[in-house]
Amino acid sequence: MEDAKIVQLYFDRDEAALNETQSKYGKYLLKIANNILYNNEDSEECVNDTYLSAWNAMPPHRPDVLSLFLGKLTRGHAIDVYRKNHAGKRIPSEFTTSIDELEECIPGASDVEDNLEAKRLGEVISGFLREQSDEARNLFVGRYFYADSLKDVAAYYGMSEAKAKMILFRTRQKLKDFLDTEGFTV
Amino acid sequence: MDKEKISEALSYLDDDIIKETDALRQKSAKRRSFGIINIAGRPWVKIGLTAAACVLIIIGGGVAVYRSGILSRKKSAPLPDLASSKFAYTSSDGITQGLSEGDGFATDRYDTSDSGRNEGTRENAVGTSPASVGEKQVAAAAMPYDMTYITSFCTYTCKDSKVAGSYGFDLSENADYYVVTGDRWELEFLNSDTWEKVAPKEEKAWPAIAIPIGQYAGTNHYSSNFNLDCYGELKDGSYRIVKKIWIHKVVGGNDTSYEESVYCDLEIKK
Repeated sequence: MEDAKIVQLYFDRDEAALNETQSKYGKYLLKIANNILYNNEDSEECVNDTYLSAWNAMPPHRPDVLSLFLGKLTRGHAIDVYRKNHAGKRIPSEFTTSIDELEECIPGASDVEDNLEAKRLGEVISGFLREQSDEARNLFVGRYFYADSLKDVAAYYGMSEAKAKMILFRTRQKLKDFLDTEGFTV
Repeated sequence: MDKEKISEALSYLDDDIIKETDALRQKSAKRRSFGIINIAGRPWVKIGLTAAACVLIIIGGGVAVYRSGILSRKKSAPLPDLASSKFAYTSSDGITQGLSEGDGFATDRYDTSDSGRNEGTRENAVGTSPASVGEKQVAAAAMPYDMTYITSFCTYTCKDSKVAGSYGFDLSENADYYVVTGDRWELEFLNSDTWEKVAPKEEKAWPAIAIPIGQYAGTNHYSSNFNLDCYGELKDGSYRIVKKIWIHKVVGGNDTSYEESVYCDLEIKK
């Protein structure tokens, strides 16, 4: 079923919307959640929360791209579950590895950093990514948004993992410099 | 700011950015689901491909040489000479340009102007020609090959006392033989009715290569750049570049070679 029709089912408050969403995007969303949580049970629960959130959000929200809208919801839920269930513990998921890598992007200590809204930071990073090559941008989003493994992101372009790793490293360094120049550091 | 905050912020990336990556992910997943793995970027594949390419080039070169008949010809025929001369020409004035075209025994016609710039056009004439007078001339009818399948050409300029250009020949696709030649060429001057070899001022070593033209070679065209910088002073007159070739034809079941010459004419006028 086309996305527009699925969205319309939500607007019509037709519960078939949930079945259609699960049928079309269930695996996609489960993959996103599992990359972060590394646990099937938690991931399925997370995806179910996504359906509920989508049901509550539509209407009034009418997403331009349903898959991205659902993906973002799933990612948000998965990160919440990750924090709640694994606070202080370290689990061997791609998400754990990927956010460890993101540590390199943290600018120097700043008093204003806590005031920075995640949304604003997201916009800034979007601006930064637009300046990067297609390759660097997609590897970055694949690795740090979708928490895909290094092997998976390398497969986007059929490159070696070593090359993908090097591109990601350079992009992180650039992002750090970019955030510095944007004033997110002392 | 901590790393999780950055990760959380990524949830607010613009949709078009995520969409672009998402499309790439799905494409990649689809390739994997069909068992298509792009391995071109992997280092061992690059090394393997490079090695395979080298092996193919070596094998291909060997086959080309073998099929050219160099290793298997029955009649003794010398390879293109590996050491010869390169010549120079010095002219004191004007610009001379020439274009010649013809078969190996072609004649030529040359027009000049008085403006210090000379232009020549050489017209093709199949068969005997003044350009071959005084040379050992092989009657085409007596030989098992037809030289009219070969059309020579020469384009050149003469400017600031320097003559340079390109010369070569084309072998008709209808030819029932192929040709092998080398890099070497010589210059001859038409003295009255006799072609005389022009002695070079400097010796030059020619590369030891055999160039097949025609069947099996993938091309029916041979051309090469030349200049007469290394010659001494040249007087006005008719010159020609002499190019040795070896015609290979199967005669009586044997790949037999015949030595011939192709002539590319030049007209130098100060």
